[in-house]
Amino acid sequence: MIANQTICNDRGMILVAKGVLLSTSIIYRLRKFNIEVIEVKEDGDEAAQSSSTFTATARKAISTVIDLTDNVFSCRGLNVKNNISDIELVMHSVLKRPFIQEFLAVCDKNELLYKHSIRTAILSINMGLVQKWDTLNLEYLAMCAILHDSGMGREFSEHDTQHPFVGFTKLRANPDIDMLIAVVCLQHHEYYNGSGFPFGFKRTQITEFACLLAIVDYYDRLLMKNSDPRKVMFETIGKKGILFDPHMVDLFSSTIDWSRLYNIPMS
Amino acid sequence: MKFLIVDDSAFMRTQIKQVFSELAYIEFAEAVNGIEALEKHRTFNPDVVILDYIIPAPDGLAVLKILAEIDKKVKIVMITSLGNQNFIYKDCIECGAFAIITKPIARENALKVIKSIRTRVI
Repeated sequence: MIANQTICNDRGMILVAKGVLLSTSIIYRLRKFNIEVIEVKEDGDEAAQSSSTFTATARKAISTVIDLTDNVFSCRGLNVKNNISDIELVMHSVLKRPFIQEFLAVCDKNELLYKHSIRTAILSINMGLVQKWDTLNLEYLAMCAILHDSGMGREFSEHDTQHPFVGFTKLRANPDIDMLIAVVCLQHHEYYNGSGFPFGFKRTQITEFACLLAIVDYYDRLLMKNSDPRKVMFETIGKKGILFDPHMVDLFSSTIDWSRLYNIPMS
Repeated sequence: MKFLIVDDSAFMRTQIKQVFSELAYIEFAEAVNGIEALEKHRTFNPDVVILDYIIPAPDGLAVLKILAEIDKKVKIVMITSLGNQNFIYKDCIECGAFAIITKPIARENALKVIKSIRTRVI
């Protein structure tokens, strides 16, 4: 049997995802969290769907992942070295999904958006690994990161305050895409103090993945405009408790290789 | 009528179903958090959402704001155990709630909700 719904715990972490085969260990996990009822589907179509092919788009994306992971360490001082193989494994699994391939094929024409989407996925997975999240949550986090700007038009502009809602509407209309991913897309510009957009949600109104993605997205967008990684780093972590959840800022800070950061030559 | 009940307490969901099913023929779906509420709204397409104010993120008010934006037809009834706190009432009404009722749900309050929904629908 296959789960026909995604179930999260109180903190928004995924316990079981739609389309996942219900193994004994997953059922045990659900019981541990007092989940007694779950919608199921018989195996068949879903199993065929999960073994989708690795297209040319996915192959190109995985080589971009390898290049960008290296760049994130050497030019930005973020410690991804120990997690490279895990990041690639998660991305490899995520890139098999047809809707991820479709999005990447479309935004391939916009290099800024393409690289931003993949880089935020790398940084998010890296933070998730430090937090010791399981593979299922890491994969969902990566999908959220890749698709978070799917509401962006042809121009990659941070001033487009409608793009989270446009993206949410687009993702929500696709039944293959989990609602969690659509909601994270909607909330990735919402800030801890309620000053974000489009709704001005704050604290308990923002999902865990969106809190994490907000900081990664902010940091990466700043670096597109400013070439000094030290300045950008301090500006980002300086928003602790203002724009970003303090716990997420601590998590982000724990991925910084300070000695590397201080030894990056100024361009 | 199709009702979607969103509350993280199984006991409350059962109680709400009992109260409303005694008053009208209603088809129910349930959700325990904000994400599941939005997912069930997509697949079940309810006429009415009975939505608890305090649920795991995104909370009841956030779900209310999103639903009010994406579905102009759905009637959203907020439920709260926080008593008659004016700021909650103000927030909910401003964000598009159809009604607000306090927990535990009294039969007469549920009846009022059903009547006003029918009136507006007709």
